[in-house]
Amino acid sequence: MRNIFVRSFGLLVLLTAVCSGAAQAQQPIRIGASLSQTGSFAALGQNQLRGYQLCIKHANEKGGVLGRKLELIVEDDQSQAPVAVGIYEKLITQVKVDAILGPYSSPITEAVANVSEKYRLPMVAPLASTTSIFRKGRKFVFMVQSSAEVYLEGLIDIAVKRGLKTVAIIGEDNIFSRATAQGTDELARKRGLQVVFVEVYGKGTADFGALLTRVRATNPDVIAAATYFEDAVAITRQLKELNVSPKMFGVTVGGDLPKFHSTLGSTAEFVYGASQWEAELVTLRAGGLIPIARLYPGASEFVEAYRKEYPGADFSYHSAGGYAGCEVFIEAIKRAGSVDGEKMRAAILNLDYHNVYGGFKVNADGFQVAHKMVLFQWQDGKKVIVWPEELAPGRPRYPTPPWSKR
Amino acid sequence: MCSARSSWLRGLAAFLAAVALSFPAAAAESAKPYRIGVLNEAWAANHPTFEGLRTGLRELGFQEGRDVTFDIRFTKGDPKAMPAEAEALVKAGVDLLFTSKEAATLAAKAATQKLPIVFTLVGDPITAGVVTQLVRPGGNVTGISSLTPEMMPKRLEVLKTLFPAVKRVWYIHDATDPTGSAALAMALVTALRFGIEMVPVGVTDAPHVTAVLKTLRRGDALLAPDQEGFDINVAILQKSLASRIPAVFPSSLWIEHGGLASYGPDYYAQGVQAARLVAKILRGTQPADLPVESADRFYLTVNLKTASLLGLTAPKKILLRADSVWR
Repeated sequence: MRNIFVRSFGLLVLLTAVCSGAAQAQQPIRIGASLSQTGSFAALGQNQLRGYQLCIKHANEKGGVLGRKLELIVEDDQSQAPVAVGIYEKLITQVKVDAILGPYSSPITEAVANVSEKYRLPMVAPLASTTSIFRKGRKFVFMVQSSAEVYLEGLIDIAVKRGLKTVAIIGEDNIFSRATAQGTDELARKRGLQVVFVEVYGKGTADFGALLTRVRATNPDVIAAATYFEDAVAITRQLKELNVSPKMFGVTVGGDLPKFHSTLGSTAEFVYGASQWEAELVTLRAGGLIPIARLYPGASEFVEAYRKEYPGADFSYHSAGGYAGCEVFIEAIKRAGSVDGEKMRAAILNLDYHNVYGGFKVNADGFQVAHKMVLFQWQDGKKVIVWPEELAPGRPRYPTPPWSKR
Repeated sequence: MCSARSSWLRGLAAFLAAVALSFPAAAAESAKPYRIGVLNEAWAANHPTFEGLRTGLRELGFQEGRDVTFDIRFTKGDPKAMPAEAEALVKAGVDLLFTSKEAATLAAKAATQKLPIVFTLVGDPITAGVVTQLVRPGGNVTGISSLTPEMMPKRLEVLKTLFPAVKRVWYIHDATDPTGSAALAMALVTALRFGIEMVPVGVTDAPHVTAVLKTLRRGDALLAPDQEGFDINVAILQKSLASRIPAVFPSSLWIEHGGLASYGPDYYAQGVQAARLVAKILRGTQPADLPVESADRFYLTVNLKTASLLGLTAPKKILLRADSVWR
């Protein structure tokens, strides 16, 4: 009897040990992130979040990473950098997540990059484009997309090729828009354009009347606006109201969202917008002949899965960027063989590959050097890629007609 | 005095003639720009030959919008769609047709015996039935020949140089295009000299291309045809990279996107070259009096990244001869 008891006890101990080992092996990798779900970045932050969520879902459907499922823990930073800083501090020190993913926007990334640096946790920051974030000697923040300075390169290139002479640059007073404005200024001057006006406006500005009146006084051929969504809409609307009609008008962030056109209707027509990625890219052919889909591996499947998973949801490059940033993160874990911060950092620095978002390769500063921008123009309610020319299936509708004829 | 005056008048007349010649007939005679119908098998409006044409015409003084406009039709790789598009362009009232490749050119020729046609990228204009002779083409058609059959020995030589162990080379071509057969004849002679077995396959649709490519094995190589129908070269490029099968292409365009090597004319440059013929016609010369030209230059391009992927080492002699090397 005693013997049976001992044997049974032994078996129980063994079973417990096995079960406990299995549970340990199956404990998920917990990933923390702060994303703007309310406030001025809400629309774009939610798009990025859907990208993260879909990527995590796909990874888990394939059995997870290193034999562990992935679990995403997200909190709303209300589009406020200090809130985001608090969220990452909490996620790392109290919730004790294994790893982190970046927030939405450059201003917030700039703030939280100090947190990831402090805890030496690699942070793939898919939607941060401002060069200065990656020029401060930080070791643990990594850029996925093209830098803010080149957002409007296509607008300048087309303007120069159309023989235009003058450009006015406006932008919101934040780290990203300032970098875009400065980069556009430099690109324009380098290409021989005269920059006749440069001014920034405060975050949350709704009335652009005085600013646009000053812009009009300089009579620019081109107006380049470094924006987010809400200011992009307001400026476009008020350009029409004030009948300021440059030969070309381009915005940066927000102009790419479907709701930019649905909000503005025909007022959005002829407006140029910069984009890091478009679903249409996978159907394009260089020179009209050679498909470039292989530069975006998995993008077709991503687009299909996104539309199925989130029917009717807004879909922009921010979603693809989120997905791609998460892909980079997962690839780094696989190559590092662990979630150890130093090992993951080394793996990311060695990545040189293409994912759904295009090329990914960062330099020692974590600055992106492989990704490429596109410029589109709203034409008949659709975003038509018009630059770079060698890929563009469409041509810019130029010259831009007066507001009364759009 | 009289002699001096006469000389001055002659000078003035020469100056006025030069001024007249330096402006397009369209601008001089009418404010209405010439309409050029563009026809090719591309998937978008920016076929490199068309881009070359635009640049060439601009350099020759034709301003887009003022002197010329373009009506662009592309059939997304479908040669069967060509006749309808060519007829549509003629019905739309274009003044000249600018075509690329055989299918577009033959469709344009069938659609009109009156409107001038300037072709590009036709591999062998006589074999293809585009013109009956090159020096005085007669009729309403002239253009630029890519000399495709003449290029085949050179392409095979490039392949052999990069992949000395090659034993079997596949030549998958559009069976409906006679240039493919003419090119094959030239390739066969060279293959014999190199001790290479040529495997020619004339295909009639895209699934056929896919099916043939599935039968290739390691150690084989491919000569890509100078044709765009059925997306053959896209399939060859993908197969080459996925299965590590060396392939030589007709134009550097493919090398920029991962092809191993190419020897042939540059598409864009051919468009620029053809712009000279277009300009002459718009200024009053008859196409019948404009000899068919050969492409101005032929370019050797090698992609070292792809060579490395395929496990090949490009010998120094080919790199020294290459016009462009992608690293």
